[in-house]
Amino acid sequence: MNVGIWLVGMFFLGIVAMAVCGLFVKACEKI
Amino acid sequence: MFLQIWLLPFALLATATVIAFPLSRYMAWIMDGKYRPLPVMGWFEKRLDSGPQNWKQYIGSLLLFNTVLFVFGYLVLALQPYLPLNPDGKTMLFPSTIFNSVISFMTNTNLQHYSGDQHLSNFSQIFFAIANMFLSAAIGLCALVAIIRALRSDASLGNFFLDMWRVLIYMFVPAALVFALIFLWQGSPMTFKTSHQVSTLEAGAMGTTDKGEAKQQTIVVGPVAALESIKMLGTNGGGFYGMNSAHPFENPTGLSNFFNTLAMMIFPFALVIMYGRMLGRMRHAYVIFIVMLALMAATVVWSVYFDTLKPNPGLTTHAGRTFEIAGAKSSEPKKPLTYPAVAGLPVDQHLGNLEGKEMRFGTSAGATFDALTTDVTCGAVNAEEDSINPMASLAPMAGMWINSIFGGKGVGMINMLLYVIIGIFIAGMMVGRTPEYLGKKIEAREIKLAAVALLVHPFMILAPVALFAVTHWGVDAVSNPGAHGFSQILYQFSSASANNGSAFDGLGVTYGFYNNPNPAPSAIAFDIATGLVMLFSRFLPIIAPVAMAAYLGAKKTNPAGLGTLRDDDVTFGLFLIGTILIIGALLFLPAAALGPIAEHFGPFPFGG
Repeated sequence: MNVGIWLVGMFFLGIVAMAVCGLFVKACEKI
Repeated sequence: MFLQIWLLPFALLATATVIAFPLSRYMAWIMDGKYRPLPVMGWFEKRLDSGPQNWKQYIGSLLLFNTVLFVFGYLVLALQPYLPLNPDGKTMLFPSTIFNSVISFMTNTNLQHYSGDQHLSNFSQIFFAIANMFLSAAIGLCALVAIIRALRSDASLGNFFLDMWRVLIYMFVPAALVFALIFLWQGSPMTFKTSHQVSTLEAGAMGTTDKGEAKQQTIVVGPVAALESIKMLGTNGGGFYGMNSAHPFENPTGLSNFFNTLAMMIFPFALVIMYGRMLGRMRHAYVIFIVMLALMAATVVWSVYFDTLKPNPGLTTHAGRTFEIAGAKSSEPKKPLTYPAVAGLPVDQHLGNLEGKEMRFGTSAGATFDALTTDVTCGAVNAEEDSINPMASLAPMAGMWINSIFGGKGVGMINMLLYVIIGIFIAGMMVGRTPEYLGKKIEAREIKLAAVALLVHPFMILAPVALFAVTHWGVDAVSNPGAHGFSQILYQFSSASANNGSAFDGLGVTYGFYNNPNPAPSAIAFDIATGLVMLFSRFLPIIAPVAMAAYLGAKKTNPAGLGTLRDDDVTFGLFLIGTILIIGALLFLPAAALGPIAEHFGPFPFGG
């Protein structure tokens, strides 16, 4: 696969993972 | 002989304990803002302080800061070929390795699926590795201070950005300068040069060119002393060289080895006492400190004892016998193997297992370092973890599983706080009384948050280990069949989830540069899986305890009565140890039985 696609894909995976942590804050609020 | 083996571990534990007391006083003084900054610092701090924050604002700032770190680190590594201080023309790592490395350094893990000296330019070493080592180490400490303020019912949890500044400028920078000077004095390089070309004593030792001329050896150098000091002080662990603290430039002498090991212990030790000082509960902190010290001593003794077995069972048991073993890959047929191949050689191993040891430091220095580096979640190594005796490897693994034997800066104490809360809750249920901590009632919400935070760690280890052990991702990566191969996978995910960073280096996880024609077959799978494990195991167990502390701190304080469970006596200490061992360690017993324990007792290579 094109290395450029990998580069963009991995970058967004990291951002999405950080966003999931942000959602976890919301979940902790609701517990 | 006894002194030769046991003097170093004892000296390290004693010295770190002595330093913890004055250092904790200084840290509490700084974090409570009782110091008077220089005018220029004060001016800057006023502008940095965006105001008091509640727990959501504090965590929001922490996550935002880490997102910026991720973006910055990703850009530095992705643009490495175009950035300065790269005369050797090092190109870009494969993107999955960039993803893994950035998360690894951002989360204070420093699991390295690359070799620093081969794959990073000096620009990347300075602006990616060293910068992250300062910043990521400060983040855990800030989270702990926020929890302390919440537990003592302060009006706010402070300000994340001001806390970061205080930790960096008043703690890490001065301490790192002192230790960098020590390492410089002991012989570590400190230069912007990237390498030296030297002629080897034995002509042609590095091979020959097409013209038949002897090749020169390339000796990589750089800002090693600076990296080394914060690598250890910040319990980061990521080496400038692939060999980490076993490399003579990172750790040149026996004295530098002592300071290397001590450096990773002093902040985690001092933080426990700081916790007591800031809460005004010194006796409670002493009990926690003694529990942690006892567990740490146990892991060190276990590691050193089993790695110094005499004679070394790896060289004596089954000498000359032939085993039929499965291939390392599922497709390979069984093959006969005479084990051990070196049995009968006149090797004097009266100090125990010497495989993978740096002989300048001796056997116990390696086993001691192995246990300590995982207890405090540093991850640096001065010996090959993959080569320690199987039963000895249980000590570093247990350190990572429990994850609070002092632990990383801040997060180790946060994890211990979770055990304290769960322990008090269990004790309260046993006597039929509403459990309290610091006079605050522990109710369903606090227990749910503590349980979620505690369960993230075993889930993030055991689920991917199971997945990788039964798929070609794991099978193709292990360099040993059977129990030891399982241990390699188990160690990798334990290290990732504990934000430790050490590894059984036999595991094939390196892709290297993006244009590498022969990457390890499972490199991408390990890059992505351990990257996600590091990230979630870092932030979820910080977020939930901060929320828990905020909810707990908002409750009214009940005065201690006759029925109150004391949290500052021997009974509580024993109860805490029991809670840690039952909840923290036993969760991993089945996995341990399949890995190190099976290897020790099984027919290959030990036991019989």
